[in-house]
Amino acid sequence: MNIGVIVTIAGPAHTESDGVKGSPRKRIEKAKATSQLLMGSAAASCDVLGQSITDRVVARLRSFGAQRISIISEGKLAACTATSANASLYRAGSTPGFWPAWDSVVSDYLTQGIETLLLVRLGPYVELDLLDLLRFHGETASPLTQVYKGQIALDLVVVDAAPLRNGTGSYRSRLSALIPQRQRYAFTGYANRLAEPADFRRLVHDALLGRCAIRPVGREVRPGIWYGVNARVDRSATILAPAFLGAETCVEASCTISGASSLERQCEVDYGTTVDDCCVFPGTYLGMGLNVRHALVKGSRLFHLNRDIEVELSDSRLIGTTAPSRQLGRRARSVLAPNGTFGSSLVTRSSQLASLLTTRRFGRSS
Amino acid sequence: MVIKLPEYVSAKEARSFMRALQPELRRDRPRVVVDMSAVKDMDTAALDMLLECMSQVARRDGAVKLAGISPQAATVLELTRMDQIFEMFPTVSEAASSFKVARVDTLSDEASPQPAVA
Repeated sequence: MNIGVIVTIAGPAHTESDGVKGSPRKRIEKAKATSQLLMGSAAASCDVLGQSITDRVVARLRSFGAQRISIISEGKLAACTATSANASLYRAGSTPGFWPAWDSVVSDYLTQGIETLLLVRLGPYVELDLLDLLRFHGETASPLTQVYKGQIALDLVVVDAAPLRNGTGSYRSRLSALIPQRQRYAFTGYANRLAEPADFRRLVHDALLGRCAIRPVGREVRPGIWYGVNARVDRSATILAPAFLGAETCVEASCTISGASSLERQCEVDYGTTVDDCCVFPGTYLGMGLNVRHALVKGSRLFHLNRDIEVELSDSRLIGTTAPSRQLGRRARSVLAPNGTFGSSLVTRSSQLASLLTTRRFGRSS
Repeated sequence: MVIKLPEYVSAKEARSFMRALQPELRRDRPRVVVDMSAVKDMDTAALDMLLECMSQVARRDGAVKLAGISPQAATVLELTRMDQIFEMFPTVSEAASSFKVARVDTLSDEASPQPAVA
């Protein structure tokens, strides 16, 4: 399949630039004014049942035979790891900016002899049948096809390479010139706009109930209950299906996980806490005896779905990140020796290290 | 007594709150309404403060009621299950009225010359 894919992860800066008059992205009808920012980061970079949305989209495109995939992001690309490892990653947040980066990728593709370009903006999560879209695009005489779900334009466009290759001006302006000739492709599969936190929660819920193609990354230990690698659950904890516990996540004694909740990787749920109808983002600590319901929790930030409000808690004994263990690791390394090897200073500093470990084991200091 | 909590409630604000509470605690059956309409963030010191307040007031046969709870405060109270401990009212006046209703009930019981016996 001689197709080049450009996956765009819109960050805050890019979202603002969408409003610039004359921008082709503005002129292509797209999902209505959605920033796709979820608790401070792009929804596309957030993990859903053990893998980021971007990685899942890239894996899906690869399953249809798309080999050349480039990801342009204005935010962090840290979440794009697993399946995106072979994709070209561009961070456009620094100079020269989004459009020069985009033009550069298009130029590379055209040089490589790509015949068709697929432009995907994340954003919305769409379980696209790429082959059917390309078949539709091939059958129409239009150089540009845009995907629609009902009357809503999804941020998916197929465009012929030839008019981009043969036109004049920047590739951006050549793309703009094709927009009046676009055809509509009616998409009937699963799509989620991911415009609000409730949409993200619904995506996780749908995935756990098998309503979409997203499958948890982990082992199904009981029907509807998945554990990632090295997830630990105390024997006295109650996990009600469906539920997902990500890799290295720890659920302490007397906890209850229910209501199709997901706890992504490296989370810690402390003694006696109830988690119901929640999405807990990677590296989040939930303190002892809490009642966490109808919420998205990311570090110290909690979005309450019923109240439609985000609260940031300053007290890490309630909710926070599991970062203290990493801090401990760093401090422990510095205590051991500057170069990471055991030195003579270990003897004199051993009590300090023991104190640190005791703090970690028996209680969290404020 | 109505005490309004500030936007951010931590150890320092908790100490101020407990100091402000002292005159009321010298009374018999203290009645305290905590106005939480401005609260944006509260930590465990604030939660300890509310529990300590409730404990001290209860010792004198009084009551503490929370009023005008902001969505942020409501979220923290629910998170820590403290919403199940305290009586909560939409406004300060409703919380204060609830005390009056209780007082009227008590007075009417005392005033009535045991009609059931008669």
